Amino acid sequence: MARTHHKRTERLARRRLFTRLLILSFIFISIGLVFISRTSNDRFAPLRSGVEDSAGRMISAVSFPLRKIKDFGVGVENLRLAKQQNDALRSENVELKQYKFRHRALQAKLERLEGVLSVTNGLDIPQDRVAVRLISETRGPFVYSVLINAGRKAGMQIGYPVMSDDAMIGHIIRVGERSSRVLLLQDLNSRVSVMSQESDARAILIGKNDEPPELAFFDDLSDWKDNDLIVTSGDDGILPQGLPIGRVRSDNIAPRVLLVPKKPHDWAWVYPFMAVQTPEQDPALSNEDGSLVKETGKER
Amino acid sequence: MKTNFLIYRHPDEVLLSFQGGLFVAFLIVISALNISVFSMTVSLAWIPLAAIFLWPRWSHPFMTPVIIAVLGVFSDLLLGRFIGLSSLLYLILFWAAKPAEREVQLSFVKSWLEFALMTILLLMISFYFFGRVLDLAVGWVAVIEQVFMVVFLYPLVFLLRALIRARVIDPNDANYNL
Repeated sequence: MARTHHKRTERLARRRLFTRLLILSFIFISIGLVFISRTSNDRFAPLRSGVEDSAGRMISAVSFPLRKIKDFGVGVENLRLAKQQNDALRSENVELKQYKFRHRALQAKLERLEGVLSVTNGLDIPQDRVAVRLISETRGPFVYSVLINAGRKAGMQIGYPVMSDDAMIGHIIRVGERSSRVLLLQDLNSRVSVMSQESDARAILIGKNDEPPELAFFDDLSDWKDNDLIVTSGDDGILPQGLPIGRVRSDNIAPRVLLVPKKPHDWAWVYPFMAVQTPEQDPALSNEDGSLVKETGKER
Repeated sequence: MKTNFLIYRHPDEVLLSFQGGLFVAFLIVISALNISVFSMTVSLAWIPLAAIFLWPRWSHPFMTPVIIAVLGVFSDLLLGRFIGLSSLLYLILFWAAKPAEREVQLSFVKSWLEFALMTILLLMISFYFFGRVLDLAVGWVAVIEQVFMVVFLYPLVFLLRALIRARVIDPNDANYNL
């Protein structure tokens, strides 16, 4: 009896030792995966898209009651403030009508001047936009991103800018069938070509995770002043020019940008924008191997 | 009731592993939600750690690490983190807390304190280490916020787990799990 008990204890002790080794091996595998993922994140992109697509619908379903509770709260708050908001909106509307007339007049003037100079260098912010819901937000120690409920089927493409009501919040970095991942401007990997609307000075906006994004790679003589409005410059050919981002705030190290949207965003707008293609990327001008089609004398 | 782990195997150990896995999976989905409270976005990113800490006693010793590792990778894929980060942290917590080998039932207050201490140490040290090794700036504000949230919400997870255990899984036997 005692021997059987001893044998059983020994067997279970071995079993426990094996469990420890198994956990240890998985820990080492996980460490390896972190390093692989850090160096070649693109390798996992299709897998990530698949998981985000399938889990996106589940997250939407789970968050449904939460959204309803929140909507109810917002509804009650709106009712409470209805009179006050109505008065404010009426006076704002009167003011905006003046801007509307001025905008129309200026637009017509701009078109005439562009016609005279034979240029078409107006704003390239797309007229069409797609409303999307932010179904999941990741704000971690290493990553700032959100998941939106629109993917390839809704016409999303990598690089499309994502805006809140007030300003740009990030751009799409991965597209699935029904969901897309948006890299926020705060993220350490975010690099956006920007300019000051006041002085036209150019820079690259670099995400800094917790801290406000930093302006870098600018000319030493460029003129950055506190409270300058920062907009996308469009120099990268990936984003349209003129999307508002935030305002400059001086810092001892470098000028930083206080991003405009501070409130949590539940809904956002995606602006479909066709990035400027290099000649190598243009299928009409390039060969299958990516080299440019050589012009012949005959073709000329 | 104290039961020696070395001389006891639960007949439903496989089922218990899946039960723990389902609870973690549920919390992973919850952790991806965008919850706004008083104009603040609350991050529940590490809430599944509470479910790892409350992993069922007597679950299958070989299947459990596999399930935890797979769920960790799933969490990383879903939340856009480095792949392997969550599975690593889940496994380290599982290794340190040994929830599957608990000899006595959990007392709520003691378990809360233990969990708080382990989570704070685990997340702070891991992010400091990875920040240094991977040459990345760690968002400490986000880390502290997330650590606070997971510790703060532990009682809710504990209660949910106890309720599921008592009401859904086995109303007659609340003896071997939490």
